[in-house]
Amino acid sequence: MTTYPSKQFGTRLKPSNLLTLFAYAIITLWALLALFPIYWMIKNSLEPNQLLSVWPPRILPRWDALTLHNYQALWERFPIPRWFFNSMMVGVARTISAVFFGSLAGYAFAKLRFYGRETIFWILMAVLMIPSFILIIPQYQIIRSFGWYDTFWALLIPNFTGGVWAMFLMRQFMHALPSELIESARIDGAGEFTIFWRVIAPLAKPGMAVLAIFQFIGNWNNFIWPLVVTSSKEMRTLPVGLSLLTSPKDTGQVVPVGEIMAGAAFAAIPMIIIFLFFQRYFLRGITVGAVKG
Amino acid sequence: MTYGKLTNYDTTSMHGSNRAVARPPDPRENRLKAHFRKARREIARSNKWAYVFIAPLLIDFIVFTVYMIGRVLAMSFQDVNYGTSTWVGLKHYDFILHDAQFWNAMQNTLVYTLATVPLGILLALALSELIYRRSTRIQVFYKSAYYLPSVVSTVVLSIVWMWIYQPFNGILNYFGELLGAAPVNWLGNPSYALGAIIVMSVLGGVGVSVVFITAAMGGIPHTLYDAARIDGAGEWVRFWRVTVPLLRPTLLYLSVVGFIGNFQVFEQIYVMTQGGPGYPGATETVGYLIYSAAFTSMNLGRAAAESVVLFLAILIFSVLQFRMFASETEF
Repeated sequence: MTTYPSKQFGTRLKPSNLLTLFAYAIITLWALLALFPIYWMIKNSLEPNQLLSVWPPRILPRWDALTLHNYQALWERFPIPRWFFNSMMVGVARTISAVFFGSLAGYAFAKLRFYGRETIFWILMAVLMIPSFILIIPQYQIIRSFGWYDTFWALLIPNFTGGVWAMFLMRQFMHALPSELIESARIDGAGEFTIFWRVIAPLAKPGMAVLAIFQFIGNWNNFIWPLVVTSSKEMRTLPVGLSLLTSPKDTGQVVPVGEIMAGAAFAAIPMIIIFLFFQRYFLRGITVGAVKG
Repeated sequence: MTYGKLTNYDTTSMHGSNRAVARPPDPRENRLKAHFRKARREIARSNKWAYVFIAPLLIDFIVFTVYMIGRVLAMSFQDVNYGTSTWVGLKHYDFILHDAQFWNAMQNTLVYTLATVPLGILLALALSELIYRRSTRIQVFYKSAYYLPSVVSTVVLSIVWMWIYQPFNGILNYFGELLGAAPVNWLGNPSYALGAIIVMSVLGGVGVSVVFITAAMGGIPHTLYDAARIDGAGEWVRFWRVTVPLLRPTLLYLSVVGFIGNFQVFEQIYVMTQGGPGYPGATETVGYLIYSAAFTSMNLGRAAAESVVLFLAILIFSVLQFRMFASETEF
């Protein structure tokens, strides 16, 4: 019989079943707490408003009463498809732009040799910690002076390269790619951009996927910037439009709770679907660069 | 010819390889000249395409970050009206210094951040420790459940929590009633409103920290635990003496990033309470104050000055945290 020291001691100190049960109770309770608001939102969005004002409230849905009426009513009240289109437009365009320019710059910093590389890189990294909120005021003013207020330009152009963070993430990722491939492509006479596009970009796809997912979610959920630089009903994005539903003084009407929940669920469900599809990218990608620095 | 091109490309580091071929310094040349000569040589050897590749990022960065930092500083010394701005010196800073509303907002922001960040990290640490011993599949399940609220926009979460906190129909008061508590107007009562927002933020944010901490736990060598076990350390001691010290870089990262992010808290306040209830508002934060100074009072100069003060506060806290954590790194 072979016993390793660790194994021997490990089995002796095995936690009692009661403790394990207790641990499971705690982590499950917390999972229920974290998921409850999302459940509650979807449940309330699918029930008729008369049911929502009944006391005591029912935790479980009344299956026979479920309806899409709230969604329908909200569609008639507000230009939801237009807000959805705006959010999509901003999310997709900015994500593509960030992935492209972020990879390009990340590649240069990871694999190319040029004068000033380290200096420029550290200047960029130093400013990474600047809180973005404090730049809202001057950015708003400059957008106004460009005449971009309440247009797509205002939503699309500022920080279109995804910022230093996008570059840093791609740089970390590209460090790991084999340099021999670049070398041999260069011997074959490939141009620098061709090397990036044909050799590096295909290999960097997993990194790009991580960046794309986080960029899309971030842009979709972005709130303060579209709130400040848009004013017309047609230019709002979903989160900004949603925030208006709860304030009657902005919309001139009191929106029933069920419809507000329908709007919230409509904005949240695409992100939840993306999360469930790309789970492993979220759970792994989030720590790229942060832990390994 | 192709060989010459190869030197454009870096296998090791920027400076390492060409030190050897550098000419010995000529005593007749002064230092500056030598520096320029070296720079010229480096530029000649540089891969020119690299500059093209980083140009979009640099342009974006210079226009929308560096220039904007200068702008916000300049604006904080000006009275800004549409099209015109006049220099007013320290007027806005003087105003802020004596503004009870601003200090109330700063206090609320501090309370919010000092509650949200440590509470969130401690909870995440406990939950990570509890789920880390489970099988991979169970771990992924719980991590996903905790993480899910983070992919949903804060505006959406705020709207839902408003409904949960409702004084008359809210589910929270229903649970309270089951436990025999009187109904509470969570967001309408100055003593509860900020706490209610803190609870919501902690619940929504813990998942991200759990993912970070469990990832770092995976990097701790198992032999350390075996050694501790042989020395007779119990679970509790192993957690505090092995796990936590080795997680310090991750905890520092989470703490610094958490402080920077939470100091700017805005969306929850904008949607749920608009700074209220009461005057000065019980949930008014500096972020919200900046927003209302700029877009309700149309005083961009004051908003810029408040932004600068917020930045200084964040900077001080970041430095403090680095020093605090650094001084303890002796193991």
